[in-house]
This record gives sequence, structure tokens and C-alpha cells, in this order.
Amino acid sequence: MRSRGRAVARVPVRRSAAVLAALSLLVPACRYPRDAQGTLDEVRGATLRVGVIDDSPWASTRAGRHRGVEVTLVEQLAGRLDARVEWVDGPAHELLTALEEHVVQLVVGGLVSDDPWGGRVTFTPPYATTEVVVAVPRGRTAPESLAGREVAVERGSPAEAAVEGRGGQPLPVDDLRDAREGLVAAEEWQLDTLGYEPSAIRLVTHHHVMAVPKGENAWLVEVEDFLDASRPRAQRLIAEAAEG
Amino acid sequence: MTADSSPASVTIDRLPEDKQRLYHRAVVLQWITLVHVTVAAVLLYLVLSGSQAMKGAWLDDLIGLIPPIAYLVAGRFDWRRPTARFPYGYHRAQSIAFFWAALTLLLLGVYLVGESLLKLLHREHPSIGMAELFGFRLWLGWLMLGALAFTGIPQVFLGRAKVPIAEQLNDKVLHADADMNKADWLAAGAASVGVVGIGLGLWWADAVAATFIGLEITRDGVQHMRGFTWHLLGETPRSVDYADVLPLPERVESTATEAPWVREARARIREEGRVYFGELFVVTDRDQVEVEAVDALSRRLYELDWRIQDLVVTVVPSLDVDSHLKGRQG
Repeated sequence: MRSRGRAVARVPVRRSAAVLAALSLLVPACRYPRDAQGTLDEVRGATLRVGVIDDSPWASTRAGRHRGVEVTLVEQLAGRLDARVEWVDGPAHELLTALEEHVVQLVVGGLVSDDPWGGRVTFTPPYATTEVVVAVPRGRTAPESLAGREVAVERGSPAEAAVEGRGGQPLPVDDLRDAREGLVAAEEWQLDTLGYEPSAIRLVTHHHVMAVPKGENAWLVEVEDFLDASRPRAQRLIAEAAEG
Repeated sequence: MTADSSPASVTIDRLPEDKQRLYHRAVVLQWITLVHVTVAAVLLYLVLSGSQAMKGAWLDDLIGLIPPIAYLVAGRFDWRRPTARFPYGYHRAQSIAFFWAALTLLLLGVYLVGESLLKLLHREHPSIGMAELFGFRLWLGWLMLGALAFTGIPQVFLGRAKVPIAEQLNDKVLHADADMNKADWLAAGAASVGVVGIGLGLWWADAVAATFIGLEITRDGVQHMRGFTWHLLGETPRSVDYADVLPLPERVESTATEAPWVREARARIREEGRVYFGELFVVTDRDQVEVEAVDALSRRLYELDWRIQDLVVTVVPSLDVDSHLKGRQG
């Protein structure tokens, strides 16, 4: 009865060892990890098709020209790959579906890590982190808490809920520049141009990411490596975008 | 007339000396399993990322905690003395643990197969990116392989150490748990093949490997679940791997017929957790049987096998009269 127990345990060892051995023979011969559908090879030296969601200052189109923090980053990535960029404008849902179907190879435009698309496409790790803070006009004293206070927020942004969650009164506006008087909830990098100073109250953290198709791991690693090296540049681009 | 069942002093109320040492080794092995699986589960969680295969291995680890826990809990009860409320004692604590171990294996196998087939159906393409470890950037897949090796390799040795102990202790829980260790390292192996496959751009490698391993685990689970069902039905004793029916009733009968006053004997024995309970029906030619003679026979029977823990000797007029005795006619 002992020999039977052992025999049961042994056969799969040999089988899976054989599989691993066969796989490991393949590994050194080529780049690793590889793409399931060869995206990186498709892009290198050819065309990088990028979906652009309109979201200033990350990416936007004016008079047929694309600009923004992420547009600049993508142009540099394309340069590294010796590729020409072909921009594809569209709404987020359309572009992310196009990405899932490998019609475009990258989608940019203000995507953040907790966007609900994460299951259908792959987000890169964040290349920059920004925070929405409560701010006061320069020279005023910052409040300790938001209880009962009115705070101007960008209409429909996550900050609206965050202000309410802290007991404050969100005051939705279409442009934060219209809210000259009281408290505002704004991205930290916007404050200088608005003439505001940050308080200690932090509402929302945005981890900025780009999206690539699932399973394209060589491509993913290429984009990740580029973004990791581009962090300081991304910070500068955000600061410049705030000024201009 | 029912003979005076053996006095309590005849039976042991714990494992025999040499078996106790084995049992302690089993307990130590189970604690090692518990600690190792817990650490491995934390480690796997940290490198989980997007891979479904890794999630499977992680779940496998968590579920794998059930058999050793069931074993250690049952081990605290099974040799307790019978009470007015539980007059047969607590040996079936082992049967309950056996149920949990078998169920765990079965569910895990079915889960792995179902999950992998769904992945294939949805054509899921797993993504694995870069990670940073102590300031170095490397492909997260390598970290996953490291974590899987840490999970899987010790399980091979733990499982193999448990099998011989299970056989000597007649310990079905430990035997099922050894298969759980096997399931653990098989699942880790499948996940490794999956990760290597993903790196090669073979998105389906992961799911295909997991399907085969899921089937293997399901097979083990079905085998143990079937064994548990037989066990619960009071099957005559079998070896821990269910391969052989043990000739214990025959040995009891032949020992009984060696006594000069016994003309015919028939034994009925079932498993009660790790030990055996049963009855011996004896037919005699004599008009009178001395209580001492019955007691002497009883003592000899208890010495046949340490697993015999409760054997009632009954003198009957004939083996044909009682419908209960018809069980072993063939």
C-alpha cells in the first residue's frame, strides 16, 4: 500500500519537471517577457497608435494639434522606439474598447489607477501622483475643518463627494477661476495660477497611469521602464502646464 | 446472555508508546505546515498583481490551512474518555476531521478546474509588469516564481513525510492532508508554468496547466470523499489508502475459535475515527461458560491490534438466529 501512495505522488513530479525543462530551453533564446500578440515588435520602427481622451492638462487637441503632459511623454516614448505617433481622438469608452481589441496600442488622457477600466485593459504603475487639496486665497488663514464651510469644486469631480464626506458644502462650478472668494478644492499644481495656498486638508489622491492592452507584457514592460525613468520629467511637465 | 465486556483497564486510553512518538511527529509536521502555509500566503498576496494563476495558488494556500487545523483540533479530543453524554467516546472527532480534509480537497480541485476553464472561455490575457525590489527593477514574474517555489517545494517534503506516518497510525486525516500538500505543490507548479508561459506570450499556458492539476486534485478529493462516505457507513476496516480490505474480522474469529469452549464465532468491526469498534458473536457447545473464560478471550482480542478499542463479546445460541449476523454470509 505504501508503494501505491508513492507512485501516485511521483508521476506528476516527472511530468511537470519535463514541462518546466522544455519551457526553460525556450527562455534564453528570446526576449523575456514577450507579448501575446507582438505589440512591441509591431510598434518599433513603425507606427504607435495612441488613443487620446480629452482631459487638459494631460492631453487635449486644439486646432488639430495634440498637447499636454502625457502627449509630450508619448512623443518621447515613440522617439525611443523610433516610431511615428498616430493620434486617435475619441471618448474614453470607445478608446479603451479599441485598446482591448488592439486597434490602438496605448490610451492616454488623465487616466488614474482607480478608474473602472482596470479589469479590461492593463494600467501601468503611476508615473505621477497628484492631490486635490482644500485651498484658501493667498494670505488668508486655512480652516482646521470643513464642517459647515462652502468649498468650490469642479462640477462632478470626485472632490465633490470628498468635501461632502468631510461635512463641508460643495459648491459646484464649471471653472475654478470663477471662485475668487472662499475655499476651493483644487489640484495642488493649479494653486499658484489660481492665487491660492494649500491647507492641510487633502481630499483626493490621483495616481496617473496610461493604459496598454492585456497580455502584452513586453510592451507593458517597455512602457513601464520608460515611465519610471520619466518621473522627474513628468513633474516638470505638470508644473509647466500649470503656468501655461 | 451478554458477557461482561472487558473492564476499562484492558483497553488503552491513548495511543501505544511507539505510535505516540509517531503521532507527535505528525503534530510537529502539522504545525510546520500551518506556519509555512501562512507565511507563503502572505508572501503570495504581496506579489499577487494581476495574475489569475497566482490568485488560485493563494486561495489554495488559504484552503490548505483547513486540513492541518482539523487534524490538530481532532487530536485534542479523540482519546478523551467516554462520558454519559458521549458514551462511545470521542474517536469520531477524527472522522469529522477526515470529512473536512476530504471536502477541502474536492472543493479545491473543482474550483481550480472551473476557474481555469472560465479563463480559457473568456480568453483572458494576464498582464505582469515590472516590480521594484531593494532598489532593483525586475520583471514581477521572477518574484512570483520565487514566491511559488517557496510555497511549493517544502510542501513536497511535508507531504512525503506524512504518508508513512499516516499508514502506521491508520490515520486517514493525515493521509488526506498529505494529498493536500501534494495539491499545494501541484497548484504552485501549475502557477509557475502559467507565469513562465505568460512571459513567453502564451496566455493560455496558465489556464491549461491549472486545468490538468485541478483534475488531479479533484480525483484525490473524490477518492477521499468516497472513502469518507464508506467510513461513515461503517465499512469494515480498510488500509488508509482504501486499497485493501483488512482481514481483521477473520483474525478476531480465528483467535476466538482457538478457545476450547468456542464452536463458532463471527465478528463485526467498523472504523471509529482512527480506531475500531465492534462485536464478536460466539456460539458454544457448553451449558455453562465461566465469566473468566469470556474475559480471557476478550483480553486476547484486544491484544490482536492496538486499533481495537471497543469489542463486545456476546454468547449467542446460534449464528443464524440474529438478523444482524447475516451481514457476512459470503
